[in-house]
Amino acid sequence: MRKHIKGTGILFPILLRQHRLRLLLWLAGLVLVTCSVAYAYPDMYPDQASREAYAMTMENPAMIAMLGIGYDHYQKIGSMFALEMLLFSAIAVAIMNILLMSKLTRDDEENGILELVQSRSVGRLSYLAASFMVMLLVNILLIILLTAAMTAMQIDGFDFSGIVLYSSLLGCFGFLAGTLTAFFAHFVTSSRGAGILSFGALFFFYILRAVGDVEAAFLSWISPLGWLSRAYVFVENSWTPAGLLLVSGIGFGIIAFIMQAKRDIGDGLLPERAGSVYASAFLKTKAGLVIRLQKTMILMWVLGILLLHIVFALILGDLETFFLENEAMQAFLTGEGNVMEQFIVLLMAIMALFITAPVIISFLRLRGEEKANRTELLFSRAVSRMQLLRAYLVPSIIIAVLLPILQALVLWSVGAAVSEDMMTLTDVLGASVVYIPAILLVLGFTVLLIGWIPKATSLVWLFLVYGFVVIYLGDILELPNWLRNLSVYEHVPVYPSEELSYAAILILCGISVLLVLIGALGYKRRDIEG
Amino acid sequence: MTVLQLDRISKRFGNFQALNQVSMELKEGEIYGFIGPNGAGKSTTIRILLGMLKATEGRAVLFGKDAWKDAAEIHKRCAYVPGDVYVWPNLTGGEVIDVLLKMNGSYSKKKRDEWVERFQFDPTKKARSYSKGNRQKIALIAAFASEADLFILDEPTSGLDPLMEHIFQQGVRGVKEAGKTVLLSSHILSEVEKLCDRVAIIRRGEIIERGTLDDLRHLTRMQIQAETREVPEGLAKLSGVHQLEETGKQFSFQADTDHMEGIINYLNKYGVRKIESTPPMLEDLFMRHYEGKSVEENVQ
Repeated sequence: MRKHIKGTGILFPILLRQHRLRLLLWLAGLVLVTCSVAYAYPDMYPDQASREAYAMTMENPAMIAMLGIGYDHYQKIGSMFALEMLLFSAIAVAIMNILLMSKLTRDDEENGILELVQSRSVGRLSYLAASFMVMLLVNILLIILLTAAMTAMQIDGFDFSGIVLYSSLLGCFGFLAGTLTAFFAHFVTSSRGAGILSFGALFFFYILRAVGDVEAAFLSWISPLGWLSRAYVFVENSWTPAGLLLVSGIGFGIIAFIMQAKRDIGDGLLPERAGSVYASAFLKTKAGLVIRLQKTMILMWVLGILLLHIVFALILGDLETFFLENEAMQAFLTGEGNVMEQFIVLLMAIMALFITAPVIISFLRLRGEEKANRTELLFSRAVSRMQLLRAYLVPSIIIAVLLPILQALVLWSVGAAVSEDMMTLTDVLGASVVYIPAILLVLGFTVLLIGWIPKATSLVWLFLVYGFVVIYLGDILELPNWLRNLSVYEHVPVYPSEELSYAAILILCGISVLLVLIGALGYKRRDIEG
Repeated sequence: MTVLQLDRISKRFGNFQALNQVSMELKEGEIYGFIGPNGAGKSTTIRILLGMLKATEGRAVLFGKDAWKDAAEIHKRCAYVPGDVYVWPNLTGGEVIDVLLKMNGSYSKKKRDEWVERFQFDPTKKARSYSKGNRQKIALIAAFASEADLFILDEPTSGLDPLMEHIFQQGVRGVKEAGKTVLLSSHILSEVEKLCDRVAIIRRGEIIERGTLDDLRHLTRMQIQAETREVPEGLAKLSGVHQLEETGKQFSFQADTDHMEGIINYLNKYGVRKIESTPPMLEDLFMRHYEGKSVEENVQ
């Protein structure tokens, strides 16, 4: 065993240094957001009345599907906080771990770094062992920092044992996500593939839990995301889920190490088929090439988003039954601005953010290709800057325009099948497509960055993160209006409860077009790196 | 007819002067060698030619058009092979070749298949699994199978084995026979010597020497190995003789080509038994410029 992990001690600090800045930002962000929300909670629900109101909004199938089961009759501040924050914080921690581990495992192997290291007097498992140590350290740091910060703030209703469990649940879930990624990395030959499998698993856990929490509890016991709320943190403080996460993480970790020991370098366990000798007519067009290169990514996002809509639409049927059984609440269902409408409007606002992600990822590939020295091949042919830029705008705009329409159609048709009080198709469609201009505006900023400040293109993700903070935490943090208005998505009229403001939509579209044009001008003028 | 002209091109990246007043002219139908070590500015020059970088000063003209403004138009008649070929990892080699060929308009499928055959290239694999040499073949096939009039080759054989290098050289000669123009950047001197009509040498962003190979050879020295019946006293003092090493009657030295007559006449007086001469290699020429001053001083 000893010889297999020789050199781990030398590799660990090197790998850590490689990722320390990004990891520090992640940790700081997670701790900051958690603490500011926790700080705001006691003031938000000071008396019984406000807690009952909270219970009323939360205790229906739609919200349960979105956030998980509530417990303790929404009496303790801590339990209310955990209901709103635990699931999504765990997902954020998982994303951090998936990105880290797919980089440390498959990406470094793909780039030949592993080969270089392995040619030295270093054990077969050392690189993986050092990667695990980095991942482990990050999750332990998260637990320590979160516990320390939340304890130091001395918030009412947040007892120490609850805080420790809450932080540990996040850390343990991160650990599981990290080991799972290392496990999946053995099946494919690219880090992109490892990422797709891991994010796919995370998504599957979420869907499983959503259906399980509403319909059949056993499904939630299959999904690690479902275990989180079963810790009844801040109330019963059950450590079983944390233990389960840790044990399954260790399990996947051991399998990952065994596979690493047996597998050839550069090899994947899933078979690679022989490809075609010639390119299809579609691939030989510029936009065709761009779409083909992103096919899998686009398909995954479209399927994921549509699947979420099917799940939520099915729950709309339960929502109806739920309110029919509670006569006092029936007014909520049928009156002006009823619960279903509110729910669909909120869903569409969140989905607009999700749809923006593939739009940006798709267009940012133009920069990714440049960094990978692959635009050089095209520009040395009879391809102009504007032609390539246009070819990259095509899939982005198609996603930005078609996906909102498609999701509305799916939500409405499934919803109409299970619920008699489904909103009209026009209203569902309207609630979804009003966000198209905002999505296009973020795309416009992406073009602007690629044209003028190519080194800073990742800044565009701030739009998404900030948009998410405003929608999800805007009320809790009591953000003032001017701060909310910094988010592009806040300028979209809330249809159907508000009048459609064509002026706002036209202005957003106008700015998007302008940004694209200015960005294109920059792209035409600047040096191409490779 | 002039196919390519660089007129006092300079390029600065921030404070770094990558190119300084680089001029070059390629005539139709010639193979032009562009020599220099890594980081001398070969690839920067080529990227300016391809319109990917904008020259800080000067003008680059290909087929009478501006390299920066009319890039896409010019490239219809160009084929480019980079030294490091990066291709889309999830397309097959065959697909990449087709995509690259198609971007320049129509192409002959027969010619494409011929070149795939000649380079013994397997087009069915995903590009991520190809080695450096195989990735280079992708770009070479896409170049040779196209109907280009100007071939810009940037260290195109660095990953090829000797057999494939031979195929490459045949390809370049074929291109020349068809009356087309080639710019071949390289630091493999034997390759340049075999193929090129004229060469330019670049160092630290400046062209330091240019001309035909014969022109440049006058600047260099023959390597002579000889054996005489009697020891040739005073050979070391003879003008044009350098770096003499002798072991009795056997000796070797370098001779300036323009002093050759005098040296041979002198040696004859001592009864030449054996004499071997090696023609000047571009290598020597290259070294003379790159070793900097110490060699220069030796020459004087």
